[in-house]
Amino acid sequence: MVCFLSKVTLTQRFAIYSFICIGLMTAALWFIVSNYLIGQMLQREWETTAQMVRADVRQMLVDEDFAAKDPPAVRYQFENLLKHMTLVPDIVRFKVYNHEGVVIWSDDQRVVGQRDPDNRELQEALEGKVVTEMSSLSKKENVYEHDATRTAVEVYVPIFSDTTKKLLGVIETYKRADVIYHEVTKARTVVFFGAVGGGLLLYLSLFAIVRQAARKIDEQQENLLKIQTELIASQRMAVLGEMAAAVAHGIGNPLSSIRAAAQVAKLQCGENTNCQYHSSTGSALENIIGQVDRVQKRMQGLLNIAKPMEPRPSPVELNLLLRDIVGVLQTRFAEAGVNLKLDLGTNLPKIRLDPNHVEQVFMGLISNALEATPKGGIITIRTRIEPGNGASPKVIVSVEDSGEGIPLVNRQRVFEPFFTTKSQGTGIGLPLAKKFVERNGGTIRILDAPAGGAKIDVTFPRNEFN
Amino acid sequence: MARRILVVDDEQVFATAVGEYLNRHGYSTVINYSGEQALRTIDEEPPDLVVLDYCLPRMDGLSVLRKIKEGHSKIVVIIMTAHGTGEGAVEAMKLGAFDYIYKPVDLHALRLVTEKAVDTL
Repeated sequence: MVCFLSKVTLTQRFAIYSFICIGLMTAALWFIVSNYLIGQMLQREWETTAQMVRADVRQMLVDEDFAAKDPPAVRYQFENLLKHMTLVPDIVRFKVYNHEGVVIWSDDQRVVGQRDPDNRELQEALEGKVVTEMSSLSKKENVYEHDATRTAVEVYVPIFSDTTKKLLGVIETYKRADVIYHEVTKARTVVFFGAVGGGLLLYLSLFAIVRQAARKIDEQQENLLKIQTELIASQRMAVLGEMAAAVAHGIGNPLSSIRAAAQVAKLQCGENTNCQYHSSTGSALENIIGQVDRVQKRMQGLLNIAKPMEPRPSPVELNLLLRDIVGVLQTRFAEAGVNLKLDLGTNLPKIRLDPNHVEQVFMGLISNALEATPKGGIITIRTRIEPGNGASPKVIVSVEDSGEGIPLVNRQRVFEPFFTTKSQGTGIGLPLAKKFVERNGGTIRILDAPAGGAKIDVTFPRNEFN
Repeated sequence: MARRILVVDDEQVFATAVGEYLNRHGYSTVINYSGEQALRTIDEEPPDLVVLDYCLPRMDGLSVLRKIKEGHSKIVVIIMTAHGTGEGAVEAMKLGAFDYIYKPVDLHALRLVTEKAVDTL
């Protein structure tokens, strides 16, 4: 159980705990409220019964009837009282006790003259309280009852003298419990559904709030992680920038000197055609200059990636810009024997971007795709508008190739500076592209192309230029 | 008569190579390794053109350029800015430099800029 709970999410754990707690609370509430209501209902019922009995007694009996030494002498009065009282619905029979607890009259003559000192309810009634009890008619005092299986409510009503205010006796009535049971069941059912409905409403409301809060926490955690990652990346970039500047400063001047000296030497070599090694020296000097330029290019890339580049946005028509780029790269496509498919969405709006940044991004991505695609392969460039579904709409540019693709494990790493899987790669192209895209408010991600190669999606917010 | 060019750079190998290259293309070059030395040379015998490094010790290239333009406004100045960052290039142009060129300098490109500058004289 502990192991199971450690695996569930915060929301799921809350769902389980709150379900148990609210369930228990609902059951307790149902029990307390229904018992209270039923208690109130019964009390009112018995009080009404007691009032009716007292009113009948006051009307039909006198004080002496309770103290009569010869019960048969007062039998007639009590029979009249029974007839009168059984007019009241549900009262089935009754007994009359004198102030000592002796049965002085009953509709069953066999119990007359008997005393039951163990009858607790009777003893309480003799003390002046109206006492009720839900019971079966099979109790000891009802042994002669024919219909003993039925449940009844016994109501013990103490009768006081109007003149002396003394206790005259107790009248015990038996009321059918069916109706009151029906009322009680109805009350319990109503309270049950009320409590369950309330509990359910509370549970669902709390669950919705907690789920929303959990989502917010997840989002915030995700954002925090993203910010943290960006911060680390930015700190790395700052360090890299400082290092790059220092390296560039330390290397740049000697490089200039090497290049200049090589150029002078080459000039001298060109003038001195008698030199035995004229041709090979010239070629070696050319190589020196070439290698210096290569180092300088790398250094330039390093500086570009490390330095902050604020975009200068202007309205850019992405379809036009992409057509221009593929126009420039047409010769390279032909040399590589790679086919190009342009699937440019219609009605693409002009959006605010730095055209130089965007040009560098797609020039780099399409060049990478060209390097990755084998002869006879295809590169597809697509543009489309994605509706925002509540958020702001986006413009997506996809560059798909039919090369080997980028393994999942490398999809984040290729955006790290100097990470490369190519033998001649610098590891600067994709990090620089990412930096340019993000500076212009966009995102870049790598997916699998339908043709089996890599698909790079660049998404820009559709901040139309007005 | 060959045009007189003053090359100012604290990198001695580089300055010598630039001087040698321009000499071989028909110019008369003088080499200085600091801004202060260059200003003294200009006061004593003003050149037609100065090829000036932006990043000099003590007195930087922009300060030297400012002084040159204050005393000798007709001297044409070409600024060499460091490491391809373009740092100071815009400022130099505002101060009256003829053109700027990135380091590491392609001497052939420098010669072409020099020829253009000399044509304006």
